[in-house]
Formats: sequence, C-alpha cells, structure tokens
Amino acid sequence: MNIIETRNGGYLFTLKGKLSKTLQDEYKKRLKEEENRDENSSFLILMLLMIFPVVLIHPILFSFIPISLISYYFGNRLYIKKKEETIKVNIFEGSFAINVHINKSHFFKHFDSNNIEQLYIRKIEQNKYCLCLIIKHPIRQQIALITGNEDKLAELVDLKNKIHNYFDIQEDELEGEFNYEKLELPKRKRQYFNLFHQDINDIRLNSVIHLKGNDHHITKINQLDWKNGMVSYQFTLETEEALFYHSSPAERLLFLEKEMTDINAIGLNPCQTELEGLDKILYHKGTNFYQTEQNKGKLFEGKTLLHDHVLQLLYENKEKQRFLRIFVLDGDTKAMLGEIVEEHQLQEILPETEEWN
Amino acid sequence: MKIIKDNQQVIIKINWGQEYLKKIALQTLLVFPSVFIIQLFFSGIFPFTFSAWIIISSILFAIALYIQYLNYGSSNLICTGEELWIYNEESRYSIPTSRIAQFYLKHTSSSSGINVFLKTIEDSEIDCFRGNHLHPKKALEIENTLEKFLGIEDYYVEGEYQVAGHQKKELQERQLADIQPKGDIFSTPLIEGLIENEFQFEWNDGEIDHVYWVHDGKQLNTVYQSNLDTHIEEKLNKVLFFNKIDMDHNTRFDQLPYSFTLEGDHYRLEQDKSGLFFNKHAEKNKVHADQKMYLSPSEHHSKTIRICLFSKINLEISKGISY
Repeated sequence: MNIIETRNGGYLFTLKGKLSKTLQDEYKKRLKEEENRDENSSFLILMLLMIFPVVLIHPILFSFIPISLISYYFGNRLYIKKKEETIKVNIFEGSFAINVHINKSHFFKHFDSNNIEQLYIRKIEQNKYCLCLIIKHPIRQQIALITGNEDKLAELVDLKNKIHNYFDIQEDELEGEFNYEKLELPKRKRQYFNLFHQDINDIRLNSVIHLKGNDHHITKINQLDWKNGMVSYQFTLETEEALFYHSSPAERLLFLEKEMTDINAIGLNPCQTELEGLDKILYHKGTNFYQTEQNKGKLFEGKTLLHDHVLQLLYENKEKQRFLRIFVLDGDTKAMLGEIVEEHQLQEILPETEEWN
Repeated sequence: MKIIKDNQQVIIKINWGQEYLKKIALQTLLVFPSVFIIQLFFSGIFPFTFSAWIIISSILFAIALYIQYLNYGSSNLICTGEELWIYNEESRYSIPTSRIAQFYLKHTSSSSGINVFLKTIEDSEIDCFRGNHLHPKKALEIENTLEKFLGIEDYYVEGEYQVAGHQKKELQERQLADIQPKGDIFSTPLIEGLIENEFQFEWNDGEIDHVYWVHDGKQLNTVYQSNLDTHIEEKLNKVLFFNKIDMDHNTRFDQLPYSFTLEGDHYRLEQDKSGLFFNKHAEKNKVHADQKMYLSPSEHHSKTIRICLFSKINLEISKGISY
C-alpha cells in the first residue's frame, strides 16, 4: 500500500486487492449498461463483418463465431472475478470513495463521511478476510468493501486505522470482528560473523565464548530495547549465571551477574512491584550501591516480545566494580548482582554449533 | 535466482535470461493446451500440414527465446561484513558496508518489474542491477536478506514500492553530511583512535553536537564534540554527584541549580537546550533529549559538567575535560 497526501488535504491510498462480491455484482451491472453504448462493441461488430468472408470458405468455420462470442463473454466475467485490481481509496473532507480501473472502464463508489458509522474487519472463511463498512442511512447496514488473504491483512488494518484517524471515528467492538495483533520485533542484530575484531554482536544462541579462562555455552539471549534508543543483551550461560551487556550514550558495561535468592537482604519487599519510590542508595554485605541509571524499555526473548514496559534500576558501588540490577517481571521483583568483566577478558567467540538460519 | 548465505557472507546469483524465460513461460503457458484442443476438434478440417506448421513455429519461437536468453547475461552480488561487491555484465561495483544506509525497491515506469536500489549515507542512490528488474517477491527477498545480514533497520524511502504488509515508517529528518562512519579514524590534538560508535544530538536551535566512542588502543573513551570545543568525558554516578554538591539526590532535571561547586571548581550554567537524540543512521523512534551544560573556566584547561535527560526518564551526568 502506498499513501499519498493530496493537495486538498486528503489522502490517496493505493493497494492491490479484490473487490467484495456485492461491489463486484454492482460493477458487473454497470459494465452491462456501458457495453451497449461502448465504442469497443462497435469495433467488435466491424471485426466480425471483416472476418465473415473468410468464414465462408468452409461451413464448419461458422462455429467459430458463437464460440468466440461465448468465450469473450465468459472470459471477461472470469477476468474480473479472478484478477486483483489496483484499488484506489480516496479520502478527503466529508467524503470517502473507492475507485477501480479495469480495462479502461472505471468503477466509482462514494460514501458520505457523515454516513459512516465505522469500519471493521471480518473473517469470512479460512485465509480470507474482508473490510466492511457500516452506514447509518437509509437503514443501518453493512457493506463489504475489499477482500484479501492473510498477506493483505496488514494493509487492510492499516487502511482501517488511517480512515478512523482521519474522520475521527470512535471505534466500538463488534461481534464477529477480527482482532489483529501487530507483531513487534526487536531491533535488528546483524547476522554476519566477524572472525577477527569480534564484538558483542558476534555472540549467538548456542555459541561458545571464552570468558575469564573458562569456556561457556550460551543457552538463552534476551534483548532489551530501551526508550533512549540503546540496546542491552543478557546472555544466559549454562552455569545459571548471565553475561549482561549494557550500553548508554556515555559508557558501555559488561558484567557477569547472578540472581539474588533473597532480595530482603537489600531491604526490598518481594511483593513490592512499584520501583519508582525505591531508595537511591542500597546496602548489601558491607557495600553501598548508588543508583546510576533508570530506564524503561521492551524485553524480547529471541524475536518474541515478552514485556512491553520493563522498568530497570541500575546501581553501582563507588569503584564501579559491582552492579545491582532491579526490575519487575510478571509482578515479581527480581534483583541481579553482578561483577564487572573487562572487555579483554572476553575472548574468542566461536560460532554457534547448530545450523544457522 | 539463488541465495546462498552463511555466517560470513551472502551470495546472490541472478541469471537474467532464466528470470525472463520463467516470466514468458508463465504468461504463455495457457496458449499451449488451447492449441492442442483446437487441433483435436478440427483435425478433420486441418490436414497434417497444420500440425507441421505448429511444430515449425514453436521451434522458431524456442530459437528466438534462446537468443534472448544469451542476450540477458547474469549478475552476482557478494556481501561480507566489510564490503559489498556487485558484478553485472562487464561492470563491477564495490562499497564498504559501513556506508550503506538502506536497500529499497522502486517501480520505474519503464519496467514491468521492480528494481533494487541502494542508498548510501551520503544520500546517493545506486541501481544495484543496472536497470534489470525482478519479480516483486524476489526483490523483497533480496532486500530483506541483505538488511537482516548487515543489521540495517528498515525504513520508508520516498517513492519506495511496498510489496505487501504494513506501511513502513519514515525515518526522522536528519542531516547526513557530518557523519563519520564506524571504523574511521578520529583524529584531534586531544585524542586519536578508531571510532566504534557515533551519536548525534540535534538541538532545536539548529546546532548539531556529536558523541563518539573512540578506542585509542588501551581503552574506550567518550568524546563530546560541539561547536565550541572537544571534550573527553567520564560518566559520573548521579547519587554521588548530588551528594557532593550538597543537594537532595531525588532532584529532578528542572530543579537543577544555576551554579554549583564540585571538588573546588566552580561551575556555571552555560547552555540549556532541548532537541532530538540519534544513535544510528536509521532511527525510527524519536528520542527526546534535554541538556544542561555547566562550564568551569580556567587558563590551562576547561572542565564541563553535562547533564542530559533522555526521553524524560533517563538522566546522565558526564564530566568533561579539555586541554
């Protein structure tokens, strides 16, 4: 679907799709009326007259005439039914129109914007969806507009939302409405593997890293996309520990963390799910932790979105050697205690053992 | 079209004659059975010569197709982490991957298919396959494969052809001329090293500031470059910072003082700006940034404290020094 803003302040949407059955019938009816006074039909008759002497050569050749006429009639109908047309939807102040061009002929359907109650998407059958319109006058009824399969579904949803936004239509939930869930993907991580000059982007699921003299196997990768545009990764190792990479515009951190079993030790209540009013200084086993960062973002495991709003508080000690990470997941407050890893202590990232896709 | 990909490279081989043949075959496939049926019906009327005529014409048709097939040639595209090579007929083209901003599809009015274009960070456009066009689904596959491989975020380029799915979001307006791509050498009297990452602030008054991560062989340094000066920066803990200047550590950004004293130096508010923050060439999300810059003037070196608030939640304090 392409969107163009028109000069009169409206929008023009162009998408490929099929008209619904009701509109197709309407269109065919109009096509019939047009055919009678079409220039094309007179041209056809002229052609027939020209071919007629050729037909006289053999009597059996006469049968060509009815065959060609019948095939022309049915072919045209079949063509309209099967073909995906370019549908243009035009909206501007006070009007909503659907425009279709097929074979130089032109079909136009116009609705008054005051007459529109709302649009919605219905599932007709397996892998077939329909964009429907409910109008208020003369009687409240629904009109099917455009049908499409699963590939077209995203476009239909976008179109519906744009029209609702433009005309300021309040959307009500309807019976039989198809709810489309937009898939949310994490920020893209590059897929090529660097043999030399390796960095954090070369760590993959099921790969092996050499950390502080030991080999570790990566069993899980979580990705956090922060609101300030930065990304953090949590690489879970086979030893229940995790390597956490955190980046902010002013610095980047790498630390090895482990979940705290007893979060009472830092003065935190397990039932407490509000982190906003938490102390800026926490005390644990003889060290003071000072809050350094507060961030909101989305948590992904692989490509699936796990949580929409994750609030994370990051604490560090005075020497910036030990870290404390506190966040809420599923109504559970979790705290991770970490110790810094120098970048040169992470060596030799080996590619994953399983097949790459 | 053949796509071979592994961890280290993507190879795309396209035989244009083959693509052309497939297209022709799909379009003319329906003709052959109909000819066969006609022949069955009218075998009484048309003698042997008619079928002979069909055979001769189809042989001629095949020869014409074969000549076309030879005419079209092939294209190869090889992409590694560092560089992208495109081999077309008798011409080759290569570009470092750090200079690629985006791949996109375009429908030019002269062609029945889709062309694959490449956009560099200097805003110039390159037709990857020299005017040869592809089926939209195949072109989309090439675009997605390359963008996924290089980790480029997909966004809408003006005039882009969209095959199916959601309308892509447009990129934020951003000046592209000042960018020093990743991997270049950062060289000033203050510091010299390799650029590992680059960030940009665009303030509402029109000025542009940069932050670079520069690796000088020993460690990673954060360098803040503005119109006034270049500073090497160090991140401060915000709680400790507020303790040192005798303020409550729950202080909000808009409650920050006009001047303060830190470790014997007196700092005064120099700039108070707000604008947008970008951390990559392509960034679809708008990150709002407010910044207060404090300056402590001195004869030999200047010291700065930069307090920045990202998207109204994330507060960062950096101490800068310049000789």
